[in-house]
Amino acid sequence: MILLKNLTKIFGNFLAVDNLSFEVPSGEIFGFIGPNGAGKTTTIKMLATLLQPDSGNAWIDGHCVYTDPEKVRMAMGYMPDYFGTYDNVTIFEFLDFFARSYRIPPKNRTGTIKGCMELTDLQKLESKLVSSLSKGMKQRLCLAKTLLHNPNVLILDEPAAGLDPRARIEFRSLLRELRNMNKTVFISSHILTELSDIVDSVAIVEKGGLVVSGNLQTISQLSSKNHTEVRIKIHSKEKIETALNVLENTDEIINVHNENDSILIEYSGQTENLYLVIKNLVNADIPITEVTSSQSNLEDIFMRVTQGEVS
Amino acid sequence: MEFFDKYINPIHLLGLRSHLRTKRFLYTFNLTILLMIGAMLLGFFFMSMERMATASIGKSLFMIFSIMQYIVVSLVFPAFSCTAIISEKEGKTYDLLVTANLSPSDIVWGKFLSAFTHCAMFLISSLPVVMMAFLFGGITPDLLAITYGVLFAYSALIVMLCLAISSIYKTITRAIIASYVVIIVLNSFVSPVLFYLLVDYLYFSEISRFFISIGGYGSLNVFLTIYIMPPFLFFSLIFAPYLVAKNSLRTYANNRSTALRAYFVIFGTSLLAIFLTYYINTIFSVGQKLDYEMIIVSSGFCFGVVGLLSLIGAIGFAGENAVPEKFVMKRLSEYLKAGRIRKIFNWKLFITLLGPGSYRGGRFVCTMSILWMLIFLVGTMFLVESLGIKNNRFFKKYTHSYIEQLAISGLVVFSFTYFFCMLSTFLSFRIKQAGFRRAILFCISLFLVVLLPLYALFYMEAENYFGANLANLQYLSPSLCFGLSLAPVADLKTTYYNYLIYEIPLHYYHIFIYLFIGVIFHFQNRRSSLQRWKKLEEEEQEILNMK
Repeated sequence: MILLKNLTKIFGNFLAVDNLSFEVPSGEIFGFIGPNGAGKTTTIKMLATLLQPDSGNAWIDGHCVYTDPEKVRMAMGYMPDYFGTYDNVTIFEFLDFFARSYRIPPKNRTGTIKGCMELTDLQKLESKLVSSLSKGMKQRLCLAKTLLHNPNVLILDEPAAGLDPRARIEFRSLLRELRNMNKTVFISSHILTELSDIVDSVAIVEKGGLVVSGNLQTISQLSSKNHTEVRIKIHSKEKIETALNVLENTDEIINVHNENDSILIEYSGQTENLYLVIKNLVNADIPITEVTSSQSNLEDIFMRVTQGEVS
Repeated sequence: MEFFDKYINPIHLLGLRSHLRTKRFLYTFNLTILLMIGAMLLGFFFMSMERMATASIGKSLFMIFSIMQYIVVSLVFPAFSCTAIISEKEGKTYDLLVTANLSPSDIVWGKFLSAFTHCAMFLISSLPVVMMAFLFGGITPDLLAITYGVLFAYSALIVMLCLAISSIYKTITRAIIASYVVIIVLNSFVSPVLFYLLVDYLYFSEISRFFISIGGYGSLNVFLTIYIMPPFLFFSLIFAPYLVAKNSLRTYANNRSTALRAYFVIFGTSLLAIFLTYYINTIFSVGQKLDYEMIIVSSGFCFGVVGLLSLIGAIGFAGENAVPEKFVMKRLSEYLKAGRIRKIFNWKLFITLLGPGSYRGGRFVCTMSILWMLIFLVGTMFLVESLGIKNNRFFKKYTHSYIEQLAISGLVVFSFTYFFCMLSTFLSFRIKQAGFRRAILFCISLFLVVLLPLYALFYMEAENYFGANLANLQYLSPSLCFGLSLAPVADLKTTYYNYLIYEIPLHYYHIFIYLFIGVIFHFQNRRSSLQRWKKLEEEEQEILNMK
C-alpha cells in the first residue's frame, strides 16, 4: 500500500505539491488524476524517490521514501511519463541490464526476463534492437523492466500516452492481470475514459493540493452533493416531451433537461427508489432503451470537482 | 562464472555492449592508430635523412610515440566520459537507473569503468606501434612500463574528471566545453612535469642523481618518493572528482559533505604522515641532522598539496546549502529532548552534527589546513631543536630563522585557503539554484584570470626575465606559478616588484591581502548565516502558529 502524509514540494516560489495526504489500499488500481501542472508528476517523483520532499512523508509497502529509499525502490516498479532507452542493445540485453541492477541472482535471471517478456508480449522480439521498436513496443518494454523484480507496488505515470487504440485496450487488460496478481497499481493519466473502466479508487489533485480521494462511488456521491445524475435514453423523439412532463411532476427530481435523444435528470432521493421514476415513465408508455447512472463517470466527476463544485 | 557475475557492474556491461557497436568508436579507434603509425613513420623518415645514431632514433621515436599518446589521452579520452552522465539525464534514462536501485557510486563507478575500458583498448592496441622504437635500441622495457603506467593513471584521472563535470552540467554542450577547458588547464599543470620526467629519463638522469643524493635506491626516502607519493597523489586527485560526481547524483541533499570531510581528513593527514616520515628517516639514515634544503623543499611541496586540497574543498563545499550552525544544533537538541538518546549514536545523526552547510564546510577546511600546518611546523621545529640542522650554506643565505621561513610559506597557503573558503561560502549564500556550478566557475576563473597572471608577472621579475621573450610563456603554467609562490623569501631578489616597501617582501602583502578580504567575507557570511537562521525561525514559528 501507499501512504502519503502532508507531502509538500516547493520549487523556488512555486508550490508544486501542497500538503498532500491520502492512502492507496493494497491490491487496488488507483487513479491519480488532475489537470496539467497540478503536481501529479512531482508527487510521483517523490514517491519514486527521485525528488526530495520539502516536508511531509510517504510510505510505500511500509518503507519510508525519505529514510529507506533503497527498500522503497525494491518494493516498487516505476514507469515514468517520458523515458529513454539504450538504442544499441537488444531487448533481452536491455532487460538483462535492469535485472542485474535489481540484483536478481544469475540462476533466476534469464527465467525472470523471459517471464516478463511473455507477460508483455515481447518474447518474439527478444533479439531485436531497442532502436527498431515502435512507441507502443517501447512502452511495453518499459513495463517489462518495471515488473522484473516482482514489485508489490507499481507506479505508472501516464503509461497509455501515445498508444494506439488497440495497444490501449491491451494495456488495460494487462493492468487487470496485474491486479489479479494482487499488485497495487498507482496510475496517473489524462485519459479519464481509460481509467474509469479499471480503477477502484482515485485521487484528484488541482494546484498541488488534494481535491478529493476515495473509491469512485463515494466520490461520485460526494461530488454531486447527494444527487444522482441519471441519463435516460428514449427510442422515439416524439415521446421526449411527454417524458419531460412526467419527470417534472415526479418528486425528488431537482433538475431535468433534454440532450439529443436522452434526458438528464438530477435525482435527490434514495438510489434504491430510483426504479419508481423509471416505473412512472414506463406507465406513461415511454420507450426507454437505456438508463445509466452517471455517478461512475470519472470524466464528469473530474469536471465537477476541478471546477470547484466540491471543496 | 556465477561467482564473478555479482562483481560485474551492470552499467559497465551495458556501456561496453552499446558503445562498442557504434561506428563512431570503430572510426575513432582506427584513425587514432593510423595517425600514430603515420607520425612514427614520418619521424623515422626525417631522422634517417639526418643519419642519426640508431639509439638516438629509438629514443626520438619513443618521444614521438609518448607525445602522440599524450595528445590522444588529452583529446580523445575526454570524449568517452564528458557526456556519460549528462546524456543519461538528457536521454531520460537517468530516472530508470535511480529507480533500478543503482546507487550514485554504482553509476559513477560503472561509467568510469566503461570509459576507462575504452581508453585501455586504445592504449593497449597502440603497443605494437611502439615496438618500432625497440628495433633501434636505446629504450628499456622499464621505460615502456613506466610510460604506460603514467598514461593509464593520467587517463583514469581525465576520465573521472570529465565524469564529474558531466554530472554537474545540465546540457551536453556545456559539459563538453567545460571538460575540454578543464583538460587544457590540467595539461598546463601536468604536461611540463611529464615532459621533463621523460626527457630526464631518456637523456640526463638528473632525477637518478637526486635519488642517490637523498640516500640512494633502496632507502626509505626514495621508496617514499617513487612508490608512495605518486599513488598517493593519484588517489587524492582522482578521489575528489569521484566525490563531486557521486555527491551531485544524490537525490537527497542531506549528508553530501560527509565524504568530502572524510576525504580531507584522510588525505591531509596521510600527506602529513608521509612528510614527517621523510624527516624522521633523514635523521636516522642520512646523518642525524636535518637537511635545511630538504626542509624547504618538503614544506613547499607539502603546503602546495594542502593548498590544492583546500581549493578542492572550498569549491566542493560551495555546493552545500548554506544552513546555519544554530539550525543543526537545534535539531540535535530536539532529538535529545524527544528522548531519542539512542539516536545520538546513529551515524546519520552524527553526520548531521558535522554538516551540511557551506559556512561550516568552509570553516572546516580552514581549521583542518591550519591544523596540518601547525603539526608540520611544530614537528619540524621539535626535530630541528633537538637534533640540529646541517647544510649551513643555505641557512646562512637566509636572513630569517628557518621556522619563520616555513611559517611564512604556511601562512601564504593558509591565507589563500581562507580567502577561497570564505569566497565560496559567500557565493553559496547568494547563488540559490545553480550555486555549485557558478561558484566553481567563478573561483576557477578568478584563479586563472587574476591570480595566475599576477604570479607570472611577479616571478618573471623575481627571476629577472621581465623582458620580451617567448620563453616567458612558461611562467603562465599554473603549476610553476603556484610552486614559486611558496619560494623562500630570501630567494627573492631586491627588485622593485618584490619589495614594494623597503624590506617588506611581497609574500607579506599576499598574506595580508588574502586574510583581509577573507575576514571581510567571513563577517558577511556570518551575517548571512544569522539572517538565514532568523528566517528559518520565523518560518518555523509560522508553521507552529498555523497548527
